[in-house]
Amino acid sequence: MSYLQPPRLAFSGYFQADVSTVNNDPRHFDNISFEPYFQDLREGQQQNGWWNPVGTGIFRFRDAAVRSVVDPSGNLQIGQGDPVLSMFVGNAFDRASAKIVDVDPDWQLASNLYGLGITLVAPNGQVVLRSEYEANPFRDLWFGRSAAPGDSGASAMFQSVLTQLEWNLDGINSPFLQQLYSFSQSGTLSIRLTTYGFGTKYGENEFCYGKLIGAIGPVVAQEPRSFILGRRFMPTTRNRTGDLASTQNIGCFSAFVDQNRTLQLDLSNALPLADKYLIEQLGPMQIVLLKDPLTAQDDLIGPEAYYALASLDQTDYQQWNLSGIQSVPLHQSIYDVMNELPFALLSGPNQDGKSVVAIRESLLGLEVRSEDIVFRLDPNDSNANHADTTIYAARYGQPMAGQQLNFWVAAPATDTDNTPVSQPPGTTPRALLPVNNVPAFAVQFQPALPVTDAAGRVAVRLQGPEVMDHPREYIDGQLYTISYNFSGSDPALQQNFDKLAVLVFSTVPVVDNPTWNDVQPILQQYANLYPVMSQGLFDFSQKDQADANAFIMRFVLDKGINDPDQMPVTRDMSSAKRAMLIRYFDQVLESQGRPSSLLHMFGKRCPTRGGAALRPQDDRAAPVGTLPGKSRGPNP
Amino acid sequence: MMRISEKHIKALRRAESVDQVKSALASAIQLELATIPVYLSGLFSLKQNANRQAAALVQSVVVEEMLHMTLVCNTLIAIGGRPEITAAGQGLYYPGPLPLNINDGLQVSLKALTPEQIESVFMAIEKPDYDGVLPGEDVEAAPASVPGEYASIGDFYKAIGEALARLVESGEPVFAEPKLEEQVDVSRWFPPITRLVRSEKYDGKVSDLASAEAALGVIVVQGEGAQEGDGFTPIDSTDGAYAHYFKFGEIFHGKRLIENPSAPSGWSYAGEPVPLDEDMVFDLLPNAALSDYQSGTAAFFAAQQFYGSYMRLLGALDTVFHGEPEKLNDALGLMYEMKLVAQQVTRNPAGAAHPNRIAAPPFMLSHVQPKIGQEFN
Repeated sequence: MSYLQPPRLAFSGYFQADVSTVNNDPRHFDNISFEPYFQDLREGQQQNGWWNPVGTGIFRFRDAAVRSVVDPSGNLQIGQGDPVLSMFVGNAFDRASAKIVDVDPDWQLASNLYGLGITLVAPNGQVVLRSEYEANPFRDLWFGRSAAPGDSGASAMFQSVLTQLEWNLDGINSPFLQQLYSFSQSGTLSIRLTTYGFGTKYGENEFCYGKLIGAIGPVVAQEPRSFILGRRFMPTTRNRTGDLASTQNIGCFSAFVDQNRTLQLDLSNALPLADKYLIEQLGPMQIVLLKDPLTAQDDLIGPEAYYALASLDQTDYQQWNLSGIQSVPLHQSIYDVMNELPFALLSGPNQDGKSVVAIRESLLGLEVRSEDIVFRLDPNDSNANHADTTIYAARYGQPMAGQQLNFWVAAPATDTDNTPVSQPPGTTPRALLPVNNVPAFAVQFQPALPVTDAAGRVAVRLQGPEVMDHPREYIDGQLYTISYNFSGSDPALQQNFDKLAVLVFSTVPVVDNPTWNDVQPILQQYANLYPVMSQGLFDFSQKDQADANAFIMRFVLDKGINDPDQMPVTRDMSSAKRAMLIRYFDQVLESQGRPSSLLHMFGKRCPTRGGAALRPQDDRAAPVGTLPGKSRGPNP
Repeated sequence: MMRISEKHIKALRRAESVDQVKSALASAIQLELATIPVYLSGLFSLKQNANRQAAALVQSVVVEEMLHMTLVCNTLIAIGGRPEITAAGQGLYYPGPLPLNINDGLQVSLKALTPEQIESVFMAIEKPDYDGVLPGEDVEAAPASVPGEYASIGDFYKAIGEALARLVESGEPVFAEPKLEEQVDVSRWFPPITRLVRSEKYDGKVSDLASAEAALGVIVVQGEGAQEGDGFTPIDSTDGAYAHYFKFGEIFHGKRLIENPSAPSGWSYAGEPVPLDEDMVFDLLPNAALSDYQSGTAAFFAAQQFYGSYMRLLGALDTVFHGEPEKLNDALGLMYEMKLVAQQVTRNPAGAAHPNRIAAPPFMLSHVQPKIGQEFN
C-alpha cells in the first residue's frame, strides 16, 4: 500500500527551494581558475554564478493545506466535513529548515531532501502529527512540462516514507485521522510530493518558490517506498526538451489497482501545463483498457478495440484538491482481464468515433525499478564503500519472478548541460570539463547478474573500488551513471533519468596533524561555491576567520547527513576529508584552551576575543604585565 | 544598566512564597529576551562585508543576553519553575517599554544601527546606574535616578537572590528538585566565564542557593561593569571585555575605549577607530511587523519566512528548557537560519507604503499590541 491507496490525504500549497547555483557549473569547483564574479548573479549572456548564487539550500513548505481525504472504502470528502479538512501541512517546528542537495554537480537530476520534518497542524495550532521525511531524491524529472524555460518548465515527484510518527489526536474528532492512525501502526506512512512551476527570475515575488502537490497514505512493508510498483504508463516519443513525453506532452506516470478494485492514477506529474502552471486542456480524453496488448501509442482505434472506463479529468481543481489522483472503480469483467492487458489514455473520439492512443502502459506492461537511485561510495571507509538496494520487476503490476537483471555503466562523458558558454568572450570558466564514468569498473555489483525472487525482488550490493584517484582533478571523486534493466531481449522502457547515480569519493591519505595548508583548499572550494555562507556568515577560507569560528565549523562538520544543520557542502565530502577538517578544528580548539566564542558565530569577522586586560586592582585578574593587549584595552 | 521601579524590589523583599520568585524570574527572562530583537535589528541592518567591528560588538552583546536568559532559565528550573519562551516572545511589542517598565518606560524601537539608535536606545538600555563620571565622559552626567524610586536591574537580581536565601532559611524546600539534567550546561555553548567563578568549566547549572547566586552574579557583572570604591570600571570581569554600555559606546564614539589617566574617569574613547559607515547600513523599516508587507510580494514571503524561523527558535528554546537541553544544538541551527533569512528579507524594498525603506526582518506578527504577559508584581 502507498499514498495511492486509501485512506489518503491530499494537500497542496507552495514550496521554497532556495538552491545555490554557483555549484551548478562543475567548472566552478576549480579553485585555480575561479573568478570572484562566479559568485554574482547572471547578467544577460554572462552566466556568472547563474540565477541564485546566494541560495541557502533551504527547502520548505509555504501555505500548504489539506484539501481532501479518501476513506478506506474510497469515499471522497472535500472542502468541508471532517476536521482534517481545515488543517495545515507544515515542516518541523523546532529546528532549521530542510536542505535540498544534489549528489554531484555532474548529476543534478535527482535532488535530495535532508532533514525535512512534516507536520499536520490544526487551526488552533495543535500539532496533530509530527513526522520525518526519509531522505529520498525526486524522480521522473522532466523539463518540458510547461512552455516556461529552464527549471521553471520542469516538474518532478518525490516519493518516500514518513517515519518517527508522533500523533496527538487529543480533542480532534476526525474519523479520517483515526483511520490513518490505525493504518500507521507499522510506524510509517507513505508520502508523495510533486513540485513544479518553480520561479527562477531573481526579484520576482515567486523567486525560488513553486507549486507543491502532496498525498499521504499507508505503507506496507513489502512494497517499494520510493516509487509505485504498479501500472507504469510510458510514452514512446520525446518532446522539445528531450523528455519522454507523448505527442500531446503527457509524461510518464504510475497507477495502481487498490484493494477496492479501483484504478488509482497519479497524474500529478504527468499532464502538461498551460499558462500560470494550470493543467492544460487537451480536449476530451478517456481512460481505457486496451483489448490488444500490441496497440501502440498514437494508433487510431475504434471503440471495439478498448474497454472504456471513465473520462479523464483534466481540471486544475483535480490537481490542486485531489493531488492529481484520479480514481476509477473497475467492473469485475475488467478486473478479470486487466493483468494481461494495458491501460491507456485515449484522445477523442473524433466524429468518426475513432480515438488516438495518447499514452499507454509500457510494452508488455514491463517495469523494472530500483528502490534507491543515488549512492555515495567512500573508499576511505570500508563501512561506507558499499551500498545495498532492492530492485523490483513487475509485469502489469504483477511481480516477475526469475528475471535476470544487468547493469551498464555509461561511456565516458562530459557534462555539457551545465557548462554553458558566457558572453562577452573571456567570461566563460576556463577550467577543463571533467569527464565522468572513468576509470571503468570502479563500481561492482553483487551479484553481477541478479535474478529476481518469487516476489519479483532482488537485493543488490554496490561495491566501491579499493582506491579512487582524482579522475576529475578539481572535483572530488568520480560520478558514474549506471543503467539497469532486464538482461534479456525485452527491456522495460524507463524514464530518462531512472539510472543509478554513484558518486565514488577520491582516496586521500590520512593526515594525523593537519595544518591550515592541508585544509585550506577544501575550505576555499566551499567558500567559492557557497557565498551565502562565506560572505553572509564568515569567510572560512581565511585562517583567522576559520580559526575564530572553530567551534561552529566543527559543529556543522560533525553533523549527520540527515541533519539540516550539516553544511550542504559536507554531503559531497568524503569521510576522510571531513575527519581531517574535524581534526584540524579540534587542534584549533585545543590551542585556544576553550570553546571558541559564540561572539564569532553570528556574523563576526574580527580576530577572536581574548587577551583582554583586567585592571590590576581587580583581585580576580592576572597581573597586567602577563596579559597581552594592555595598551588598547580589552578587545570586544 | 537598566533601572527598574523600586516597587518590584519591594515586592521581592516581601516575597513569602517561591511562586513570587518564579514570577520575578519569568519577568527577567522576558526582559533579557526583549533586548535581543532590538540588537539583532541593528545587526541585520549592516550590509554584507561592511561595518564588521560594529557588527562584532553588537553580536557579542546579543550572545551575552542569550547567556543571561539561559542562566535565568536554569535558576527558574532549579526552583521548580517552567520557562515559557514563546509566550514571552509573543508578549513583546515595539515601539514600547521593555518588560518591567524598565527605565521609567523607556520607549524602545527596532531600527537600523545608526548613532542615534545606539545612543537613544542601545546605550539608554544599558546605561550603568552610577552617578559619577562614567568612563568616556568628561563631565558628570545628571543623576541617573531619583533615589528611592528606582533601583538597578542588578538590585533586582540581588533581591531575587535574597528572597531565595530567606525562603531557604525559613525551611522552604526551594531547591528540593533542581532537575540538573534539564538545565543547560553553558560551558558547551557559550564563551567561558571562568574569571568570575574561578572554575575551569563553569556550567551555569543551579542546584542550591550558592549556585543560584553565582548564576545571577554573572548577569549583574556582565551588564553593569563594576563599581570599585569611588571609581568605576567599564570592564566586565567575567571575561575581561567591556560591559555592554561601553561596547555600544565604542560604536557611538567611533573609537575604542582606552585607559586615559588624564580623563576624569580614567578612560576615554580615544583608541583605534571603530568605523560605522552609514552608507553601508540598510535604512530598515522601523518596528516592522509581518503585516507591514503586502501579501504575495517577495518582501512578504521573506519576512514570513523570517518570522517563522524566529517563532521556531522560540519554540526550540521552549523544548530546550522543558527538559531537552541537547536541543540547543537545533536552536543554534535556527539562529544561523535567522541570520541567512534576514539577509534575504533585506534584499527587498519595504513596499509602496514605505517609500525608500528596506524591508526589515519582523519580530512581530502585526501591530496589534499583545497583552503584556509575565507582569511581575
